Amino acid sequence: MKAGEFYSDEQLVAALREEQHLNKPILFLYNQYLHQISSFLINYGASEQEAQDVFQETVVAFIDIIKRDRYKPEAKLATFLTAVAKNIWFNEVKKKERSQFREKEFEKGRAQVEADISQLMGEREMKTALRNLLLQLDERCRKILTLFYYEEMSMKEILQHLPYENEQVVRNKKSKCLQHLTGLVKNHPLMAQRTKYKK
Amino acid sequence: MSSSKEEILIDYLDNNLSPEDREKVVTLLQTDEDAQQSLDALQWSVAAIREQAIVDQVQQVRASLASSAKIVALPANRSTGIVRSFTRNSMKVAAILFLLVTAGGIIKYSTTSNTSVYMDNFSSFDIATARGNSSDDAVELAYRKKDWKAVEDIAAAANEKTAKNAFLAGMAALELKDYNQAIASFSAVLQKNSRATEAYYQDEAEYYLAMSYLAANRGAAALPILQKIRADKDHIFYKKARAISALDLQVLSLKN
Repeated sequence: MKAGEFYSDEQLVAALREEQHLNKPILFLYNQYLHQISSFLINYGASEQEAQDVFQETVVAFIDIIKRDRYKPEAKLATFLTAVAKNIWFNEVKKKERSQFREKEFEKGRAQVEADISQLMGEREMKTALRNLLLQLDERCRKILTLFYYEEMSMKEILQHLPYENEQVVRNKKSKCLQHLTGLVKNHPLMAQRTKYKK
Repeated sequence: MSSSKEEILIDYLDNNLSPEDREKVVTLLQTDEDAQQSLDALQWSVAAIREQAIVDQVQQVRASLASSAKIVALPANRSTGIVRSFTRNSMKVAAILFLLVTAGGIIKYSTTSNTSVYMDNFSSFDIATARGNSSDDAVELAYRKKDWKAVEDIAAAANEKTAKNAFLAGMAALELKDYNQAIASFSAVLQKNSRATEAYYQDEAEYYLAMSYLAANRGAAALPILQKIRADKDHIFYKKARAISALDLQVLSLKN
């Protein structure tokens, strides 16, 4: 992969918000922040592999925050990303019940930006869990749903990518695939918990 | 929740309802808890689909960098010997990076070929997308039945050598792995279009001509066509051409 393009913070946010094919801005994020944030996480007890995984989730969460129009450029991008990474790593550690470590390393002196991040990250666990359900769909279903809901292609355009007879067949298949996925989502324990909580 | 009710909710979610029907769904959602939960689950499903698409792209970048990235933990307190250890560490990191980049580059270079790029990116042309006046003519029917030999025979015997006949004959040849014949047919479409006032199957013929060149191990001929398509956002196959890894094309340009 090439060294990639350079983006100012504003250009990067605009590219991540508006574009669907994000390889270039993602590459820029990796080139600019992977080393810095991974080193930070490693210093806070993450292994190299864990640091890379957390950085990947950080990039995903950051894009999600931008696409939901929840990003407010009040802090430097590096500070913001570090706070997101820290939040993800904090939750990982919490899951592993390393509570002593958490108390010692994270709880003292939490900055305002980190408290704000917690609010933005509220739905992370749910999204991470639910996207794993996609693995239970066949490849064709995953593709048709991605082309429609992410690439925002029309039925006609999807016909270019998948071997279906006509637009109606694509429409029916897409509907069945989404219903299958929704069935899985409804039965997920986190979803059941959420429904119970709402009642 | 009945299947038909769920389908209405999907149409609501996809914004496919008339204002009147939309209003009815809004009323339903205010009173029907079951419908609310179904819509909630549908919205989460779509959120998961969108997020997975982003994850796929991040993982793609991560994988491409895997061979050239090495994370080194910085010590929490660097109190002594900073200049010397920093220089030494920098040299080590540079050496490791050089080796990793070189090794990754060698692996990538050796595993990428015209044929591998063709195999990774070729997908059959769907006749449903075909544009033309008669939708059920003989060549089209044979193509639908995947009777490739018949497609070639009908196209060859046709009195009128249309762009459609030539294009479908090219696709049939490509399916039969007769790559040189496919190249000849797609080139014929482009040649015909260059003399015509209206160009039919131009974008299709360009893309599949590039694919045929790759399959025939003639990457040097395929690359300029693919670069042209990748630069043209209005090209029907823009997304497909952009989906081919830039690194793969870089390797091909070195090899061809």
